[in-house]
Amino acid sequence: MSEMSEKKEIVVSLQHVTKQFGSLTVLDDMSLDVYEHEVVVLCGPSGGGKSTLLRTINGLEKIGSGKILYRGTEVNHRNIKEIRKHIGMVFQQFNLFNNLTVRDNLLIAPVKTQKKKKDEMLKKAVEYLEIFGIADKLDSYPHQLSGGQKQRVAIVRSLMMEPDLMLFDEPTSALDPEMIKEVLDAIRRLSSMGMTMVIVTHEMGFAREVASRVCFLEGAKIRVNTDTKTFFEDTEDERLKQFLSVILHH
Amino acid sequence: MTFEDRYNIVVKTILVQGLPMTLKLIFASLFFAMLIGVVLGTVRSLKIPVVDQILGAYALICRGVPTIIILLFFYAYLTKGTQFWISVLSISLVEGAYMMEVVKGGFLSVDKGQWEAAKSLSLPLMHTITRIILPQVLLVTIPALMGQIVMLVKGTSVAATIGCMDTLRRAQLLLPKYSYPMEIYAYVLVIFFIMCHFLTWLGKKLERTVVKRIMGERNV
Ligand SMILES: Nc1ncnc2c1ncn2[C@@H]1O[C@H](COP(=O)(O)OP(=O)(O)OP(=O)(O)O)[C@@H](O)[C@H]1O
Ligand SMILES: [Mg+2]
Repeated sequence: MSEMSEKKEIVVSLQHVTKQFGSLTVLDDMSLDVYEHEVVVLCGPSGGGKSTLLRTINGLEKIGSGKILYRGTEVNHRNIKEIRKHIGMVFQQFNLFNNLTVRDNLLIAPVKTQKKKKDEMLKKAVEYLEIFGIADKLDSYPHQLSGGQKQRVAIVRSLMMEPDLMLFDEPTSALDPEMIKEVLDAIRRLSSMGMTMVIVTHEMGFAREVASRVCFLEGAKIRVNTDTKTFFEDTEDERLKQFLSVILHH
Repeated sequence: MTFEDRYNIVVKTILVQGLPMTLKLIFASLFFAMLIGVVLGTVRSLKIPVVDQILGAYALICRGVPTIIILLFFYAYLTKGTQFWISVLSISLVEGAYMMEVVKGGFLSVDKGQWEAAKSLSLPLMHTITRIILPQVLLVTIPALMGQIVMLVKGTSVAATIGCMDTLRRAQLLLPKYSYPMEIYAYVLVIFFIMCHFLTWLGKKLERTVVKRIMGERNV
């Protein structure tokens, strides 16, 4: 296959990562490599550790043992702030800054913190908003937006940092059905732009379409980690079969 | 009492001499109490070990003792400082403790997601607090802070007990001269009543303006 000949670089690599909350083991010796331009979908039953796994990648959650490499560099408490600048994160609850307009939500990190030129950043913000169909919302406050619009603004806010990797934690779970599509379309677009992404989602149709690889997390372990086709059509794992039959007939 | 007596009491003594001192007490104490409240309330919300215990003890003491006793304590203990500044110190410390707890409560009410989003965008902590969290904290705490400010205004009258020449003290000094204590106290009462209600009204207006400034045209 042609893919095999061009050597793809690993963006992020989790190696034997373990994480506990008190006596509860949430991540049990998890290893995962995310290659450039790959879309990795994480799924599995509630409490399986999907959010925690995602959050360890950008240091929102500290790990117990094991290590995380970002482009070959081991992530530690000293370099995490720098590394985070390259990792975008989109939350289930959007987490737009409530007291700022869309404009300021998008500009605060690049302009105020990274000291980039304001007019250039504004131009970029407007371009992204246009791509995602919400250019008219520049001066709105978050509470004036629909859920789907909020989530698209949140995606643009991450994109403003020109991330190398984007993490999504159930980006459509808090949305009404009619808004799910607009957010999924936004993520599809990122995928077609070649963005490397790790996505936690229960939207299996969507996963099947955009994922290059799907992982099934259960009981603090990555039980299955395989290419999308095998995952949906050819799995041997009994628990996964059970999970899929429930979720696909839902 | 003649009309002239009343004019002397109300205008010349209470309004011209007493009220300005009361207003000075109010504004000075309010400034320091707010400063204490916002800064230490922010620090408390960060739950820094040891520092947090010290601030907790401060809140416990200042909220658990009558202001007048703290005032008398400082008056007896401090050899320097005018009655005015000793009063400002005592009132600010007590009201600051209340405001600190209000602000700390406001921090707890801000969604954790706001912090996480800021962190994921690598916003520095100072920036996160001043631009994102604190404005939201102040927004939710305005009603409670306004209530506290009214308490502060009323509370400044303790200054009279150590001889600070405020509205109440000026009125008290008139008592030997005129034999109408009820009427004289009634003037003081009305002045405080008007100040407090004016403040409450101002607070409501301010809240609307701030909400607009911070959150856009939301009708809350
Ligand atoms: N801050 C925390 N403190 C203690 N326990 C936690 C914390 N965060 C998560 N957990 C626990 O860790 C386990 C894994 O949680 P996690 O949120 O990663 O699961 P998930 O796979 O994302 O589930 P869901 O599909 O419900 O979002 C759960 O049992 C959860 O209760
Ligand atoms: Mg989750």
